This record gives sequence, structure tokens and C-alpha cells, in this order.
Amino acid sequence: MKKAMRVLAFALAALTLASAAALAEDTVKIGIFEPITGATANGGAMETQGYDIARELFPTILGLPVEFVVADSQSDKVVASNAAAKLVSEGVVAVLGSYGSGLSMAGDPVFSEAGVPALTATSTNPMVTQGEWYARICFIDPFQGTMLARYAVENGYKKVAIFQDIEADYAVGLVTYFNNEIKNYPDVTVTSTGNFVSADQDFSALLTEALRNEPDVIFTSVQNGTSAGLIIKQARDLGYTGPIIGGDTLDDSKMYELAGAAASGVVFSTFCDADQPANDLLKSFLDAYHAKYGEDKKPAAPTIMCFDAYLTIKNAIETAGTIEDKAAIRDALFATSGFEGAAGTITLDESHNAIRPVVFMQVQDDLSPKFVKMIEP
Amino acid sequence: MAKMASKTKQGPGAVVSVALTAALLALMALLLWRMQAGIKDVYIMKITRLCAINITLALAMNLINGFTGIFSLGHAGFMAVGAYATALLTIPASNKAMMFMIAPLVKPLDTLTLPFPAALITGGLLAALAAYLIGMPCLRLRGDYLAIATLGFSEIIRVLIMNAQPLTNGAMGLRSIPANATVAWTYGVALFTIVFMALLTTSSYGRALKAIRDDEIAAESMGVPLFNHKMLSFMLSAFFAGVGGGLLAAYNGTIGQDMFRVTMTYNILMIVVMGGMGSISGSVISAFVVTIGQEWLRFLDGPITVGRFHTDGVVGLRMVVFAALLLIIIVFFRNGLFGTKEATWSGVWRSFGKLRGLGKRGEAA
Amino acid sequence: MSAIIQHLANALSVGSLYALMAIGYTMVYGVLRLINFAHGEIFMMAMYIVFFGLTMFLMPWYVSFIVAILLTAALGVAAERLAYRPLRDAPRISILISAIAVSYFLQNLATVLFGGRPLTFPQVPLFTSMIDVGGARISRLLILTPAVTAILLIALQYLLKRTKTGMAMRAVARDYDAARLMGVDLNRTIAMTFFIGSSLAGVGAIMWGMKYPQIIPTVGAMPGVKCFIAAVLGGIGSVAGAVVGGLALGIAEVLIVAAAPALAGYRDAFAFVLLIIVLLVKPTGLLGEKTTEKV
Repeated sequence: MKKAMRVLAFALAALTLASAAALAEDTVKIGIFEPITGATANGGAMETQGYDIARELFPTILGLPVEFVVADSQSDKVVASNAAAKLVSEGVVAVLGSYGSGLSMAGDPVFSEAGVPALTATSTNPMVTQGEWYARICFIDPFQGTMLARYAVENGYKKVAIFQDIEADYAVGLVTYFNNEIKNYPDVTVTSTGNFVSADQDFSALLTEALRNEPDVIFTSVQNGTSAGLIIKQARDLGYTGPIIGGDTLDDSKMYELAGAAASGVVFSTFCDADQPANDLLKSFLDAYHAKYGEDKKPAAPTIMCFDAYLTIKNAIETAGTIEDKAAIRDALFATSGFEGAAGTITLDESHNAIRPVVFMQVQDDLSPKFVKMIEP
Repeated sequence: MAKMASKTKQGPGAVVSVALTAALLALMALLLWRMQAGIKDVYIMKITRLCAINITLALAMNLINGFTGIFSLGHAGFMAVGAYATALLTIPASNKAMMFMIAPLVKPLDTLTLPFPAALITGGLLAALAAYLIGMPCLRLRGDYLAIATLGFSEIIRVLIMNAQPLTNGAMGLRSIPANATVAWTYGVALFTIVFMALLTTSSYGRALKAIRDDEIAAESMGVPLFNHKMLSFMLSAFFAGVGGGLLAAYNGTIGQDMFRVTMTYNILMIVVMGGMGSISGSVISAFVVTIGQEWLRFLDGPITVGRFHTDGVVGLRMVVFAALLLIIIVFFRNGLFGTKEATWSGVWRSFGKLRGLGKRGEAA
Repeated sequence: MSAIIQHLANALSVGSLYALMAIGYTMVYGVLRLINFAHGEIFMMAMYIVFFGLTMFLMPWYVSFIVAILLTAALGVAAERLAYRPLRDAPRISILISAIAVSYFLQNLATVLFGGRPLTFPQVPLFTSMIDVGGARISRLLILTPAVTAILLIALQYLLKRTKTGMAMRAVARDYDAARLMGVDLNRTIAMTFFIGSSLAGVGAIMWGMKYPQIIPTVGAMPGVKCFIAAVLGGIGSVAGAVVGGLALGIAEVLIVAAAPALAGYRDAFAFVLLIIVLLVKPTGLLGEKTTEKV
């Protein structure tokens, strides 16, 4: 038995040695801080696609090749903290990520302590950028929640049934800001609030109860597209034919897959629209995306946003003109103003949040989302 | 921790053992001090501190599961209580106001802050209180029923945290927790826990606990008040789990209810099982091995080239290898590294002797 | 009115799903006195096998279902052979820890083999199309699931009461040592128990997947724990009890959501509260037999 242990230890040691043959040359190391496995793995995968395409199209920064150092946070806050430290110790110049505000916040103290600038494309929780080293190129939840509420009011919905994932900071926050805005319109009421958790798959009882109040609209606030897909499918199965709205997490391949035909007509708010090649950058992104992932695939908003995040960091490093002075890179990043990305112009405010419009999209019968309208902040 | 069984004639005497232990500790302290001063690597220092936190957590679980023989799976719940208490008592008031966006934090917690040690101890005491309330019904249950009931209570604590918005910030979690979990604090608490457990388990009280583990009915007929002993052991275990949870909160800087799922309990259980249920030195060594091993195995997730064989990296492979190793240890070395024994200097002496004599004598006990 | 029918139908179908898995727990507990923590992961594996059978190997649904049930049963037997049998003489805690480790291993294995991203269980229209019953919209599955559970329960009762294997299982459950002395082949009987329990988990997984089509490596964790609770609720060791417990838990969960939707976030905690109450008030469960701790 002891011998077996020794053999095992030896084999493992041999494996490490074999893998440690890493080569050291001059590169710009960018940390990819994403959940590759675990509950939000799908989000991590969407974002990674964006980074990968951006690097394919723009492989160098300051003339040096870009090297990605990937750290999997396993969708877990403690692992995320260690993964962040791993990135810092690998000597990354800057960090991109994470999908999921909670995970970004777990990385924040590590990046702050080490002084490594970090940029998230999609973490919408206001607390993410409260530190001194984190910035984002998306809007924050108070804005999105308010706009969703206004959208419901403008469409004449009087009775709203809310479903929220009470395990997810994002989902709870969005509902809070939605409710705050709805309170300003006395003739609009929230008839029910159904609470569920991320792993729930059975919404039939909650839906049956909510539908008794005959709501005009269902507002789904979810962490994962999977929850939204299941709610939408089960609502339609129960005979609900009215409108369904939700936030940016609905734009997830899993939502379309799980809801199937039931997704048709669903409206969600998001960061940008892949169907409007307003600039050449978006067009070249789409060409690369289709070449890599298939003609029929449409990129989700987070993928485009992460493409832009890479470009924003690239721009900041090139503006700072250094890969050594991280404080200079951070300052250049926070000063980003009028930067043209694929998904629109990026300008950061004094709390390092982007000021950008919210886009409303509606899912069509062929399950592709179509632009409805855009609201400037 | 390392000098209890020095009665054997083969090894060094008691005085030498104490001296060796002291020397080892001094060496360790020196090493940590040098590391802290010399190593600027955030990652290495982070994992070093995590090892110490895991020592505290593993010893806490070992007390109830290993020494008392009560299979409790409620560890994550007690850690959550400690973590939230420590976080809420150390986060500066201004940060709290920024954080509780949905509903303000209840008074007087919104302005109350305590020094880190006071917060840690409060967290531990609250966890012990939770253990008292949970133990009242649960400790009357038998073996595996008790396991599933404590697991249930741990989940209930988590669900309560998730729903108690004005107290815990619910799903939003807590952030900006001051980074008090320094090398000094984490190793200081770990050392205190080791000494406490060593003294406890060698006291008459500890012997009573082991008697309960080995044969409950016999222990009772020998006059050991079963319920009281079980309860005190359960509460002490929860206290240290709470303190460990508080350290983890300060270590991580941000916490959320999703950290304290059953998986967290399982992770600590794995450390205890690997080291040997009922062995303090086993838990300590295992905490280092498991914590560092899990991080070290990260290379398995990346690209690997062995000779002509090459993979582009299989994400998650590290956890499969780790789980497989664990399973092998459980099935083939069911007592873990040390079983219920402790590492002793005479044991080390014997191992050296065996190594030296390996060529001549081969296997000899 | 239609809302009540709807709730009732929901409760019945969720309850029957719990029941199918609870039987596996109760049978294993009966013969080994082991909470098989890996049961939920065996259920999870079955979902993946069906998924790959249907989408990758393009099998007809009935072939893929049968393959999945057989492979799942084999997996259960393999787990017993490799991880539980070597520990049969060890303290019960060791085998319980081994079960936890098996569950941990299978979850991680699934992450590597099938990826961490969720997959969607393929729909079989024959089972999932919707029909109208008394004003309530009901999926065929809602009627099919209780029917399948009922048929399997009757078949299992026949097997346990009328066949030699079944008698051996009951004998081992009643008195392990006496059964061995009476010449019962322990290894075979225990393997058979895992075979039946795991294949029922396979059936449950298929039904579950058609109702809740998300497949992730952790999909078995919560159903696993809840079905164990259902088994305790009905009286662990009793097959009929497992079905009663499963239905009771299903109904109770739907009731709490229907009566107080704001409390729905506490739903998972509620199952545990129920468990603790049962353990304290009537540890033998609704249909369990009284056993005494042997000295």
C-alpha cells in the first residue's frame, strides 16, 4: 500500500515536470477571470468567445503578442479569490472578467491589493466598481431596472407578475430598482412576486399562483438564461399568452434552447444589438464570429461586450504606452472617453461605469432577437 | 502536537521531543516570517494563509466527527454564522451604508464595529449558540440520521441568510470586509486551536469523548453523561468552525450565502478523512497537503505535453484526479494518514530507521 | 377551480418523481443501512446518457431509454462493487464517507466528460405534448409519470414478495447476519438491490428530464437529498413508504408555494424542516417498522 502511494506521488511529480516546460518570451499577459465550470459556466463561455475573437483580430498590443492567462473561478467565490491571486502572481498586466457580479467582487480585493487594473464587460451590480481598480463597460442595474419598468409602463401594462432568483445579487437588485420606478405610477401594480433559487427547475406551482391574478406582463429577473427558459416554457404550457420581459441575462443560448417556440415574443433589455453593423468593427467581429462558430449562430450581447472589453484594455495600455506601470494603465482605462467599440461608444464616468444606452430586443418566431428600441441615459 | 506518545524506548525521550517540537515551531515561524517579508507573490501567500484557516476548520470538524464519533455535516452552517458575524462587525459603517442598497442594515449593526479579535470570538460564540439550538433536537438522533439532520440545518441556515435581507444583505452578499486574515492571525488561531485540541483530547474530558465514540452504551454505563458531553463537544466544534468561518470572510474580502453550501462541509470533511479521523497531527498535515495539492493540481486543467501525447487542457480534470485520489484513500487506506494516532518524534525516528535499514532487512515493524 | 386541479396535477407528478428515486434510497438503506449519497449523481448520469443516446448516437427514444436504464443500473452496481463492498466490515461512517466521495467524483467526472455548460434534455413529443383536462392545461407527462410509478411499484412488490431474489433481499434487510448464515448470497443480493434501485433512478431521470430539461453536473444533488427525505418521511426500508413519502413531499411543496408564494424561496429549507420534524416525532416514518438498536 505504501509502495502504491509512492508510485502515485512519483507519477504526479513527473507530470508536473512535463507541464512546467513553459517558455518565457516577451508577451502582454492579460488575465481571463471567468467561470469556466460550475453554475454560470455558460456565461463564462459566452464571454471567452468574445475575448478569443478580439485577440484573433488584434493579436498584438504595443507590438507585443498578447497571451491570455485563464483562471477558472468555478462559479465559486472562494475559488474566485484564489484564481484572482493566481492571475496576479502570473504577472498579468490587466484582467478581463468576470461574468457574474458576485465573482467580480470576489476578485476585487485581490486586484486592488496587488494594483492590477480589472475590467468587466457585463457585471452590472453597482458594488463591483466601488473599489479603486475595477471598471466596467456596461451600464449598472439601477439604470436597467428603471428602464425595464418604464418599458412596462409605456406599453400600458397595468398588472405585473415578477419572478426573481433570490439567490442572485443581480436578479434581486434588478427587481428592487424595477419596483422603485413602478411605485411612481400608481395605476401600475405588482400583483405577485415569485421567489425561486438558481437550481430550481419547477415553476409550475409559482406560475399557477401568479396567473390567478391575470397579469398583463411577466417580468423575469434571473441569473441564468436557463431559469428564464424554463419559466417561459412553463408559462406558455400553462396557457399564458401575454408578454414576458426580462433583463440582459435572457440573451443566453440556453434560454432559446429550453423555451423553444415559447420564446417567441419575449422582450429583453441588453447592451447592444448584433444586427446593426453601425460600424466596420462590428462587421469584422461578426465575420470572424460566423467563420469560427458557424453562419447560423448569432453572438449573444455578452460576447460582443467582451470583444469591446478587450479593445478597451488594449486602448488603455496603448494610451499609457507601458506594460509595466499598471497605475498608468488604470488611469488611462478610467479616462476612457468616446472610444469606438463594436457595440457603441464607450465613455466611463467618475465611478468607472460606462454611460451607455439600453437596447430592447424582441425574440422573433425564428428565435432570433430583433431590435425594438434604444433608450439613451 | 507531536510528543504525546514518547514512552517508547526506540525513540528520543520526552525532553528531546519537546525540544524538537519547539524547534520545529520556531523554524516554521521563521519560515513564515521570512516568506511574508520576502515573497511578494500574492498567490503563494494567499494559499499559505488558506492552509492555516483549513487547519482550524478541519480540527473543529475532527473534534465532533473524529474524537466524539458523531457524524455531523453541519459545518458549513456554523462557518456561515461566524463569517457573517465577523464581516458585519468589522466592515466600516460607511461601507455598510453603500452596500445595503435594497434594505438598510438593522440597528445597531449599521454603525457598530468591533476590533477583529472581538468580532472573531463573537462569531464563534454565535456559531456555538446555533449549535446549541441545533444540538437540542439533533444530538438525540442516531448516526446517519444525525448526519442528514445536521446537513438539513446547515442548509436552513443558508436559506435564512439568503432571505434575511436587512441583516445579511441577502443575495447581494457582503464585500469590503477588512483584510485582517494576515499570516499572524491565521497561524496564530491555528496554533491556538491545535494546542486547545491537544489539551482537550488528552484530558479526562477528551477520554470520555473517545469512550463515547468507541462504544456509546459502554460509556454511558461507565457513568459518562452522554448528552452533556456530546453537546459540549458539538458546541466547541461549532465555535472553532465559526472562528474559521470568520477568518475565511476576512481572507476572502467578500462573502455570499452560496459559499456555504454542503460542498464546503464536504471539502473540510475530505481533509479530516485524509488525515485520519481522530488525529490532530493528521488533520494539520492533511490541511497542508489538500489545500496546496488542490492548487498544485491546477496544471492538469491547462495544456499538458507528455512525450508525444498532447492535450489542450481539460477544464475540471484537476478535480476528477483529486476526487479519485480521495476515493482511493477512503477505500484502501480507510484510516487516512494517521488513523486515530498522532505523528510523534519517535515515529519519525522509526521511519528514518526503517529507511536506513531498508536495504538490509526489508519490511520490519 | 382550474388552479386547484393544476396544483394537484403538479403535486402528483413531482411527488411521483420523488417516489421513483426514494425507492432506490430505501432499498439500499434496507440492506446496507447506508444513505447512498451517490444516488443523486447516478440519476444525473442517466440524464446525460439519454442525452447522448438521442442526440449523438441518434437512437430511437425507446432504445436510448433502455440503454440508459441498463447503463445506470450497471453504474450503481459498479459503485457498490468498487467503493462500498471493500468497506462493508468497516464502521458505518467509513462507507457513508465513501458514498460522499463517490458522489463528489461522479459530479467532477461529469464536468470533464460532458462540460460544465448546461445541456438541454431532448423532448420526446409523444410524452410531452399538452392536453386539456377540466379547464387545466396538463402535459401528458403529468398523467404518465404517476402511471409509470404505479406500474413499477406493483412490479417491485411482486419481485420482493414472490421471487427468490426478492425474498433474499428482504431477509438481508431484516437481519444481515442471520441471512448470511442461512446461505443467502450476500454479494449477489446486494448487487441486485443496487441494480434495481439504480435502474429506477434511471427511469426517474428520464421522466425528470422531460419535465425539467436542464442537465448540469449538479442536477442530481437537490433531488437526491429531497428523495432521501421522502424515503425517511415514508419510513426508510419500506418500498410502499417511499412512494407515500415521495407523494407527501411533492404535495407539501406545492402546497407551500400555492398558499404563500412569498415563502417559495424557503422551499428547499422546508423539506429539511419536514425531515427534522419526522425524525423527532416519528423516526420510523409514516409506514416504517419499529426497529431497536442492537447492543
